Amino acid sequence: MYNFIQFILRFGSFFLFLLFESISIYLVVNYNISQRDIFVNSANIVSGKVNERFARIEGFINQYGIIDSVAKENAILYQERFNYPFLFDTLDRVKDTMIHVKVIPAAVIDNSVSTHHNYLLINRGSSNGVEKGMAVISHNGIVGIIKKCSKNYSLVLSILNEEAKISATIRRNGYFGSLVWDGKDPNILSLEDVPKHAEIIKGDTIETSGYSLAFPKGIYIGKVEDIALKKGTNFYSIKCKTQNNISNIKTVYVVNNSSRKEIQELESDANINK
Amino acid sequence: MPISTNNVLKWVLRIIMLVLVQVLILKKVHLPWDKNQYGQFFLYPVIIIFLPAATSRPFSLLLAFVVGLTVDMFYNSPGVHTGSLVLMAYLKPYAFSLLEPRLGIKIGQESASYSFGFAWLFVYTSILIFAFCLSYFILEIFTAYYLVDILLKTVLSFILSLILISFYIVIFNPKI
Repeated sequence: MYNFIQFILRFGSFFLFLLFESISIYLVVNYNISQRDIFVNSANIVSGKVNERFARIEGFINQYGIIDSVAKENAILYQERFNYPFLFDTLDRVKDTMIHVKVIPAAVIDNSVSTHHNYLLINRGSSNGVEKGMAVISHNGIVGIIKKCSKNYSLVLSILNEEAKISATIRRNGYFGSLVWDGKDPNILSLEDVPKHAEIIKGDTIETSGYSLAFPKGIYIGKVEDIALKKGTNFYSIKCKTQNNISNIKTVYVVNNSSRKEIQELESDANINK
Repeated sequence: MPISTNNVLKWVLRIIMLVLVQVLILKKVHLPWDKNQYGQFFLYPVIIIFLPAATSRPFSLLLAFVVGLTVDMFYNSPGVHTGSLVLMAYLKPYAFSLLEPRLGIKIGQESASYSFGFAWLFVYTSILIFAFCLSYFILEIFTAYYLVDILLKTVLSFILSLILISFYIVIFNPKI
């Protein structure tokens, strides 16, 4: 017994080190392989509150920038409304029956672009109607997908995250592929799996395809900057330059597509019957 | 300044301030020409680096674990900061004993604290910060596929953090 206590006293800190290190590696591996929810994340109360307080101070300092960008968005909407009045008149008439996409505005209270797994935190949660799987867009393009909601906050899986994969298409000819991020420049995304026979030129517009349920069809993503054939395959890997700058984004919109649930149910039904 | 019942509050406040500066400000700071954002600033490891030499080893490991988890909570990266900070806390006595004989100072005197010159603190800090940065990016990226990325990020962040911590040393003149 005495020897045992001596042994523990002598090597105790080494065992403690091993214990702590294995806990952290367990957390890292669990986080990388599966997308299971983990208890340590920003959607929890403490860090959410602290971040929001700080974001409020920050927002106060550069409020003129925010007001400016919101005013610009409004100006564009007004311009459309005044230029195509007949369109909006018809829309007003059929509004009640047609609306199946709802948009919830939100402010970004925490953000990162420097790691390989980036997230944003927004100040709308389940009490505002935000749910897991909804799309998040900004004025200039797509931002990400809601990953987890607490009552008043939501965690957004940014498109600048290696786990994110979004279906996108080339507007001119309709060929589609999946949009991923290679972990380098936050303004460059790459569109993978576009077949070789597709005819693509620099400057083509890339937009969402509507095949992934979260994003509605036709949201602008960016322009083709560079085209390369993947070695040993028949698919292109296209570099796409985005317009929106996620690193300084302040206001975003959560898109709630109500037909998403119906389609999801249909698909899960079909899987069961396979 | 050794930890004792008189100045526990001071230590707790210092730790909270350093963590807040890291997660609220330094997390968002990048060099303007560093487009791929390879360089990151780390200041909060000074919590562990400048713990008094007389602090017991299990205590410094436990402190590293708690601080690491807190920072991870804000970075959304469970385990990454924790793992590298605990490793650094474990390596701390080795770095100390590696440099200690040249100065002829004995460790282990209760509640003793030493004031070293800037050069000594700089070498001591750079060993530990390099270990921290390397293990941090290995854990963060977690694939050998990005080996060049890991090395580039480590070297750049190491240099940036070291510059930042040099300012910390000059301003606060910490005692170990």
